[in-house]
Amino acid sequence: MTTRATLTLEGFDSYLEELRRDGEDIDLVAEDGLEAGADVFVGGMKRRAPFERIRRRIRKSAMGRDGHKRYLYVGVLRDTPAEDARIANVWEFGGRTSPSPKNPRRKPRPGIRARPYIRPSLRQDARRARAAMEDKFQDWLNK
Amino acid sequence: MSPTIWELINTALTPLGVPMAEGSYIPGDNEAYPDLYMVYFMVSLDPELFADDQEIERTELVQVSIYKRDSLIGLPDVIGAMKAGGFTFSGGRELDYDPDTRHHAIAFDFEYLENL
Repeated sequence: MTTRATLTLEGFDSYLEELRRDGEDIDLVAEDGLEAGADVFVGGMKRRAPFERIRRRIRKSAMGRDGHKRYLYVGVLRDTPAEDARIANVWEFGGRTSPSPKNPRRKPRPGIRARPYIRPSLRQDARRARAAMEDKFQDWLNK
Repeated sequence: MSPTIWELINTALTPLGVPMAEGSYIPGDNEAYPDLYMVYFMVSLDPELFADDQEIERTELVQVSIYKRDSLIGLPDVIGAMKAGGFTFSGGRELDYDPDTRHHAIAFDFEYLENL
């Protein structure tokens, strides 16, 4: 399981329509806005992550393109090394008794108390991410 | 004084008769993990509405994980119990299998809208 979220441009139709009327390259504008929103979530997740090993695995993906659709993934992404991804997952969702199956002689630790960092960011940073995207769109409109 | 979110979860889940713990389930000395147990914790607490500079509504996102040895078949109705307790189900996912204890696990998210 990966711990990530998808960022889309839903709800920004009026901005994008106005920019299109101004003759801007909407795809480029959309990418700029998404990058700005994703940066807010990446920062929020890193701020909440319990320790550095997880923090350094939190990032945004390369821009996804499907026709005119643009999207990004943020969080601990699919290509993260397996052990780091597993640790990141356990801290977000809780779960296993032992964080390291590589040392079978060690007595299993009791259940790990989760300390979510992905979901709180998605909920609490959404307004700031949206504002960052709106700022980007406004910058394009002001050009 | 209104009950805390942890009291509300505990009250909602108690009718299921399954051992449960807040945060993490830690068996006593020389005790094994039960075949079936639950863990609950708060994921996020989000102010929703303000009036006159006062917070008047907030949403609490909580997770309830249920662990069952060897199989997830025959789980008690966690979603039904939480809904009966006033929570809204908002999603779920299977957690990693634990080879040390042979527990499978599934986690459910619930939201609770609190009027302050």
